[in-house]
Amino acid sequence: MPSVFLQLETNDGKLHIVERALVKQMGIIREMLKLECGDTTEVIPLPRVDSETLKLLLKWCESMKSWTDDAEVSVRINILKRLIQRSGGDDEVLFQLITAANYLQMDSLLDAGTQLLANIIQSYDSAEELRLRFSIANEEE
Amino acid sequence: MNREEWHNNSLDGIWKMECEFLDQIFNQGISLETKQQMQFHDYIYRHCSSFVNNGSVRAQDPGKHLYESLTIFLTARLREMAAELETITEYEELLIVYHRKWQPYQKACAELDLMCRYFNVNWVKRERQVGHSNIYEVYPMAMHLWMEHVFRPIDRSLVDAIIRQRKYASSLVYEVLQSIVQLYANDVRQETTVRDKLINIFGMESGVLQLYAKQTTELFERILLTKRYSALKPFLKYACLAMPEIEEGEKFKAFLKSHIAPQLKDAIAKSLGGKDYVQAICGLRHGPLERGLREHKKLLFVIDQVCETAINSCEINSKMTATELLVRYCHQLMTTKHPSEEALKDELKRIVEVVEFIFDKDLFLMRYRAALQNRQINETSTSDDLEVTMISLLAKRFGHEATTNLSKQLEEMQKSNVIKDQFDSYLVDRDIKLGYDFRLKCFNARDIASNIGLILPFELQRTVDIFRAFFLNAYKRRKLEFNIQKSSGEIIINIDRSSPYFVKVGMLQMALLLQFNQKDRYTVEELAVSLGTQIETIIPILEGCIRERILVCGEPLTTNCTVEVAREFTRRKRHLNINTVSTKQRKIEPKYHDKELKEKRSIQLRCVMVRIMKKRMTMNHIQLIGEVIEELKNHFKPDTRLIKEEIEYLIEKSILERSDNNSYTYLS
Repeated sequence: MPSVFLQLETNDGKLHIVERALVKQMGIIREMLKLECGDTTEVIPLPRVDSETLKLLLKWCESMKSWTDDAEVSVRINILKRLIQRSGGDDEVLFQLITAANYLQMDSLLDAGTQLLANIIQSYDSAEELRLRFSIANEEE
Repeated sequence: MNREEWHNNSLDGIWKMECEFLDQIFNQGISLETKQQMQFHDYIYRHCSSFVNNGSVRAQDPGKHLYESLTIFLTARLREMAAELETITEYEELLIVYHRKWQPYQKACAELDLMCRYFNVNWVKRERQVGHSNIYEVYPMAMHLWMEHVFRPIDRSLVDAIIRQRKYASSLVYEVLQSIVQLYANDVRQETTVRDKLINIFGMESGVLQLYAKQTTELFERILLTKRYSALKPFLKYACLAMPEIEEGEKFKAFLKSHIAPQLKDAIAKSLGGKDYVQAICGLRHGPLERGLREHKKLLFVIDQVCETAINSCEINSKMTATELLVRYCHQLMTTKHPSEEALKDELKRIVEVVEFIFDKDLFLMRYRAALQNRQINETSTSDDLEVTMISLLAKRFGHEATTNLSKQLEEMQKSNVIKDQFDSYLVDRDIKLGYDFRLKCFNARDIASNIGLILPFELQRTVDIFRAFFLNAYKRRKLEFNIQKSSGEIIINIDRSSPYFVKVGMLQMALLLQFNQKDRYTVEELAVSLGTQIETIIPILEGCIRERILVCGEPLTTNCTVEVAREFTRRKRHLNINTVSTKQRKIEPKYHDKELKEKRSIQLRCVMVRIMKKRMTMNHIQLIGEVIEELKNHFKPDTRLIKEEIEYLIEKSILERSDNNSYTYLS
């Protein structure tokens, strides 16, 4: 009987104990669990994710859990926005989340994150404003 | 070195490290542990995406490097295996060695495929989107390579071996056949179905396909009997491709049904109440068996069929019908306190799921409404939120048409509160004090049950008169009736001077007991007269009070015997409830419901039929029945006999007319 909780170790060495059902939202771990026939008391290392990001990811999984029907992208984006705002409202946070979602293969978060970023980009009218917002060096100069 | 060389070197470096793991999976046959799996995933991730920031490298190039490396790796292994197989001449040995090579390869490739998920989902998908349709995910790719390098060179000898050996080594042959089915299923060219390919290669007369069919049937039965449902999904995936009759034909479905039906019957028989019942049904519908069958809708449908039969069958539900059970269960849930409302909402969803299978949904809704009204009158609901949730769940599933009465009931409660507030301010304005806590509930009723005539004790009568004056003044055109049967209250019994008892009683009991405020003893006849009721009505109430030892009577109750207050009435508890409805009274309600239900259904049937016929003008008898059943599926399942009766009725009223070919025409 597989255990209800899994242990995830982030790249800063911290151990996080998480419910199996939540973690199954992460694609790569879901596949690994399919292969695993024995018990899962082993620690799963996540070398590219740090604790802060993992905490946010888990919060996302929690809110996704209560949406049993497929929530529309716009709804998910709102949830994501709130999540980011609560943890500082930084662009950096969004980038971290998107990269982590890509690495861990969390499709719902990846979709919502990229769509949110796309919306932000579209809301600016000129290239100059975009450069200002995302601190991109002007290549032409 | 230039950029390109450097780039290739780093990729080669990653590949070397991946090879270590590949070696473990393929050569040693050891599955990767969790840490190693994550490590491998990390390598794949790096392999595909590490050059994203590098402008000179095309984004898809690293992935391509991985794909090519994998292909080369697998091809090399396969060529070795093929060389070995080609040297074998003896049939049996060929089969054994083939199988021995296939098993570990297949397992290793499956594992590799899962590990390369990042690769599959990103690089391969992109390639195929761009149009390179010769790029496949890892597992199909591995299968193609096997087919090309191992299967093709020896296919003639393998087929011969199978045909010759099928009688002597049937299980081995079956295993090899299964592997061939997998190969065909993953084949590049999908124009011919797997089944046709098998026929082409083995021919219908060789007996091989019959062997496959027989073994598959046996395996299917074995899996079900031993309940190893996790093995069902991979097995069915390929078996259904090779044998379409699994889904289309009747044999497998029949076996499935005969396997599940007794299990469900048992579970229902063992269930001790609503919770177990709901668990039995939902457990079957969402359990491991469902997961195994999920991809095969036609087999899955058998589960629903079994549930439907079980829920509606009188003989399985001999103790209590499913409707009654579920209404009681809901009532129980609504009236007890729960620590978590979330969990309760999930349970309500499951209950609605089970209700969906009941044929007589309108009966369920009717009973539910009665129970709801009961809860509202007696103020026993623990959470209004829950009540609203349940009704909205039911409305979502069955449509607003079927559930309007329920939603109206909630509104009634609000209106009742408004009336209550108005009455309260009326009392305050006129400075009238009732002397006790009067909790009014006022509902709109289209049908009023026959009321028992009762002369109320003067304390209550005063209230009734005041309220009547208020109501008829405020709502001029309405008729007002106090419902004796549903009314209840609490009285204080002061037999023991020091400690009063608070007793919850029904209205009749209250009226009866309050008589003893004036005198200690009465004859039964006297009581009947002062209450203004029949003796038959009083006797059960008296028997109840005597049972509770509040009153005593020397002899068995007849018209002339005397009843008096029990001087020695003591109880451990201070708060009592003797307001239990006698079973005789309870039976009156259901019959009343049934008659009303029947009439309502007839009318509904007629409306639906007229609507359908008006649209279509002419319709075949069988078609009409089909459409009627479909339209009414959220209400009830009409009996074909009933439908026929209504058709006759409509013909009589010259709305429909019989035409030839067993069909009907609408007469406008």
